[in-house]
Parts: sequence; C-alpha cells; structure tokens
Amino acid sequence: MSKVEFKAVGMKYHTLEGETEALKNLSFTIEDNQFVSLIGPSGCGKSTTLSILAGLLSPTDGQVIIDGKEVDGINQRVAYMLQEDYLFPWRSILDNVLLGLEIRGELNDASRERAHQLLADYGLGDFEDYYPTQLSGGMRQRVALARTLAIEPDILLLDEPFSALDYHTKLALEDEVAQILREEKKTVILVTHDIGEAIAMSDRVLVFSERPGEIKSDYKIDLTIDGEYSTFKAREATEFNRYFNSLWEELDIYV
Amino acid sequence: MFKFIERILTKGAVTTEHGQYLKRVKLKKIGVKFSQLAILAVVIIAWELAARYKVIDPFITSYPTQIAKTIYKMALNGELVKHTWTTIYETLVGFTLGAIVGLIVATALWWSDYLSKVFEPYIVLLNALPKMALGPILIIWLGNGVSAIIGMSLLVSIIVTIMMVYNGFKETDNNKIKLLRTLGANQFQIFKKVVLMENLPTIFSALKVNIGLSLVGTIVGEFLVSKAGLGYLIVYGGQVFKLSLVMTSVIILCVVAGLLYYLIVWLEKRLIKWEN
Repeated sequence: MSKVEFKAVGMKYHTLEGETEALKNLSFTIEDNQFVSLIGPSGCGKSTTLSILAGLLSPTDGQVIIDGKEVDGINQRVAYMLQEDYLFPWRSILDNVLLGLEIRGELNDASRERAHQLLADYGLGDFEDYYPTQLSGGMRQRVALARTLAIEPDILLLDEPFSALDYHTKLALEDEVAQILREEKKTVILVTHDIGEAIAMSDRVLVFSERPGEIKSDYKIDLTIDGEYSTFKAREATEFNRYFNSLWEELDIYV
Repeated sequence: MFKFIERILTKGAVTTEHGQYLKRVKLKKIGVKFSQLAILAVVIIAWELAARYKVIDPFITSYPTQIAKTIYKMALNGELVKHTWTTIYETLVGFTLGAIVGLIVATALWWSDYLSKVFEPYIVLLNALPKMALGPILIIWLGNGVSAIIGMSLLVSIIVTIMMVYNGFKETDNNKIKLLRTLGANQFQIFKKVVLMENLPTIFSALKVNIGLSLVGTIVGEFLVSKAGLGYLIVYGGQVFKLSLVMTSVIILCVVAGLLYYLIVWLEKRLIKWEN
C-alpha cells in the first residue's frame, strides 16, 4: 500500500472575479520513507497540493488517501514546515518546540524529554531558555524542525523551508535536514524552486506543469555516492548535472 | 574631583575610545534631563516674578507660591486626598470596564467575520460621535452621581479600544495561524496562543491612549454632575473666581495623568519581556 495517493485531484478557487483552476486531474503515489520533491513554475499548485495533504483545504474533485484512508481535516500524522520559521517571539526556544504537543494535549514527561533530546541533537541544548530573537536564521530554522518533529509525524511537508536563508546557511541546513530525515525514516514531500536542492535531497522529483497543475514528469534520482550520503557529495555525483539539465529543460523557463 | 566625575562617566568602558563614547552618550542624556528641568524652573520662576511685580494680574493667573500654599492647606484638611482619589477611582473603574468590555467585543468581532461586517458601520458612527453629547442622557439613565461619571469615562474609551484591538487582531500574521491549524489547533487555541499574544503590544498602545481618554471622560462627567473630584474643584473654583484653586486642580490633574500613564507603561514592561 502506498503511503500517499492522489487520485484525479482537482482544485478550483472562487473569487468575485471568477474561478481559478489550481489543480486538474492530479494523480501520483508516494511510498513510505520516500523523499519526494515537487518542482514547477510559480503558481502551478505545489503549495495547494501540500495544503490539501495537510487537510487545510479540501479538494473540489478526486480523492487524497493517506495510509489507506481518505483525508478529512487535519491529519495528526502529518506535519507542515513553512518558508519561514514562524517561531513565536514571546516563547522561549523550548516552549516553541513544545507548541505542537501543547495544542494536541500530548505534553508529558516522555514528550518533554523528547523535545530536550531533539534540541540537544541539533546543537541547541544550551539555548533552550533563549528567545528566538537571540538566535541566527539557521538556528531558528533548526528549532522549527525540532518543533515539527516533536509531534512525531510520519509525513513531513516542507514548503520551501530554506528559501528565506542566506546561501551558506541554506547549503549547510539542507544537508543537516536531509540526513536527519533519512535517519528518522520519514516520508517527506518538499516543495522547492531550487533544482539543485531537489536533486541533492530527494529520491524522486515530480515536475508540475503550468496551472492548472498536473504531473508533467516523474524522475527517480539515482546518484552514485561513495561513502556516507550528504547533499554535498550528492552534488558531486556524476549524474547530478545530467538530472539538473533535464529538469531545467522540463521547467521551460523564459524570462 | 574631576577624575571622580570622569570615572563615573566612563564606567564600564572596555577601551579609552569606548570610554569617550560612553562619556558622550551619558553627557547627552544628562543634558536632556537638565534642559527639561531648566524649562520647568524658568516657567515657575517667571510666573512667580511676573505675578509679584504685577506684570500679570495675580487675581486671574494665580502664582506658584499661592498654589503651593493651597496644596499644603488642602493636604492638611484632607481635601487633597479626597478629591484626587475620587477622580482616580472614577477613572480607573471607567478605564478598566472599558478595557475589559472593549477586549471582549473586539474578540467577538475577530471570531465572527459576519458579526464584524454587520457592526462595522455602527462602530465607525459611534467613534465619530462626540461622546460628551451623551452626557445628559447618561445622567438621566444612571442618576445624578458617580455612576454617570464612570459611564462617561467608559463611553469615551471603549470605542477606541474596540477599533484598535480589533484591527490588531485582524492583522495577525496569517502564516502563524496556518502553522497552528496544521498542528490541529481549534479557534480558541489560535486566539489564545497567537492572536492574543501577538497583539499584546497593540493592546497596550490602546490602553495607553485610553487611560488618557478615560480621564477626559471623568473630568467631563465631573463638570456635569459631582460633589467631589478634580473636575468639580475646577468648575467650583471657576464659579467663585478662586483661580488658585483652579490652577492647583489642573496641576494635580497633570500629575495624576502622568502617574496613570506610567502605571500602564510599568505593567507593559512586566508583561512583555521578550521585546527587550
């Protein structure tokens, strides 16, 4: 059984001016533990796809199935990570990480211990009592990752989580996040504009067409890496440039 | 001696250059404070001298030493505490009620988009209406006494609270709300954990405006109906042409207004720690 299945999903938005068709006849499946990137032109419905998966929006057509069950409202197994960290400035780092547990009423000694452990693992153990404004952008995004993983989701939705960071931090954090999520054996769906990031981090890349979005092509990423995986090694793999060029052509960008 | 002053001015310096920087900053700060006090001193002395040498008519302007004497006399016979406290009490009750009811109404408007759309023109209208015009109605409804004054104080501040706080609530970062929704938060949790917290600074700005407005409401109320309070003293002093009493009351009112404002600033500093 697939972890995630989209069956002929369509999504229409209505405004006073008219109707926008964001997704049309969108079908794909994602297996358990897969790391899949969605790329495509701006406004092609990638973020809509994530919102539907998270249960924030209901599709106007078709079915979305997670673990064999149709999505109906917010799914407790799914966690969402946004472009920016959106840490709450009035909460300490630890309290920010505990936010999801607090909302779900799952705050107990074991979950607290897990939050401490996550922060310690990401090198933030000494910053638990700090406030977000005292941390750098990269550290803040790591706190956001800890907040996302504290609720122990199976599926992670990442909506351009590195786009607000400077280039160096972005590269370092991509590697860190890719390694963490591989170790934790999560199913990950990453929306990105960065072709290199998509290839280096994922097992599979889905290319969306122009709006209304549907799958234009489906790439399985197979890189030859000697030794331990890292995004830096992935970028050095001989196949990397070939994937990059074909994806670039697929996107068909004119400026 | 000079060395001692130099040491105080450059305290905490890491290098001599840093010391010079600290000295400049501190001297500027001292200069500002000194100028503020100097203006006050000049005004008081000029007022006193002008009245003594009959440059201005002391009967219609009063003068500082006479005001000081009036304050001293009022302090001895208990009038000072009685009238000042009456005004502070009425203001605080009106202000607190206005803040609480205003917050509740703003929350209800945020909660229901439909409600806010329905009430929008009425709130705009009430905001534009000079609340003083409702004074006589309040007196008839609430009686000729403290309740009418508190009613006036509340009326003047509540609409501004509703508008400022509701606008703040409405502008809450949508992505933070989205984040909470993905975590499975209900409307109440969204309100408590993001909307209210993010808007604490806005709420305090509204409170700072309203403590002053409530005082205006109280004084206007006291002008219309009262047997005590600073507003009463001002009207009474005016009627019997005792300008020293009027000036004294105005000066006490200045101090009260300042104290009430700083009470809110103090509360804000205690509650909003993360901004420092």
